[in-house]
Amino acid sequence: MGTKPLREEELDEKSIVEFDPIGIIAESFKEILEHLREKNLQLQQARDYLQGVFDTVGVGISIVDKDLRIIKCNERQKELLVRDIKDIEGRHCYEVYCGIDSPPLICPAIETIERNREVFLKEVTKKGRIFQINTSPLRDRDGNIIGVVEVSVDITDKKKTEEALYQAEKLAAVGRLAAGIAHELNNPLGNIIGYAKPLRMPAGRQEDIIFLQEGLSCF
Amino acid sequence: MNNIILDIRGQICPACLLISLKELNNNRESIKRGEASLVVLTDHRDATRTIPNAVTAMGYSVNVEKRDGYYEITIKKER
Repeated sequence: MGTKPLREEELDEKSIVEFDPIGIIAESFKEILEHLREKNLQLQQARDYLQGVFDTVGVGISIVDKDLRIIKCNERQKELLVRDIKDIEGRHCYEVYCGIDSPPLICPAIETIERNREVFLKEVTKKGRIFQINTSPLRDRDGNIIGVVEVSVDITDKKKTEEALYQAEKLAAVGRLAAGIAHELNNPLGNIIGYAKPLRMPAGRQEDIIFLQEGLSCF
Repeated sequence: MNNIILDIRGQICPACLLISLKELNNNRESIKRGEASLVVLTDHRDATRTIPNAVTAMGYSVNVEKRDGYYEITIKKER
């Protein structure tokens, strides 16, 4: 709030006191503080809301910086920890999630940083369940990559269903094949029986002999 | 909407801000409820900076428009 010095003719004590400039400023300050308090409360509520969503979402989310140190991770991700560690933030993700002491050769987070794009690592097995890991670049306002967001989705049930479906399809195919073979065998067998039947009968009429010869010439 | 007009054209610099704040504080309730707005008419260019800075920090929304020979600063409750 800028002010200039008052000129000589403007310095009239009575009217200045009546005007109460200090009182006006004080009142305005109070309002500024109240407004600040309100905004801080809204900010805290927004933070709490987002934290709630972050922790209850059904996938593991982990945010690491360019050195692969964990900045933040949600509750679901903590269930996937390989090592039992108290202070996760600040540690390297490979230490905590993979249980190794140096970056692995194949790592979706490293690939995302190097290639500056999203990466999908299909299957990682942890604690008996199968996960799909997606990593995407985290950028600052200028578009520079400052970290990686790793999302781990539990696809164990989906894989089981896929496997069961695959087995069912294989069985169905075998079934169709068997039916086809049976049909292929039945046809000639039926013919053979048909023509061989007259062989059991007493030798006889000329028509029967010709009939038999024609039938046998088919094979 | 009750538009309270505060014509301080010709007023000296520090007084612009102080008089506007005084008027704002006097009508705080109705402006914050959205029933009124304060329209300050001033020919001081500095006021178009000092008044918006102050009232924004106090939680109001402000709009400045140039008119013929003066400025019109409209102060309402925050959106």
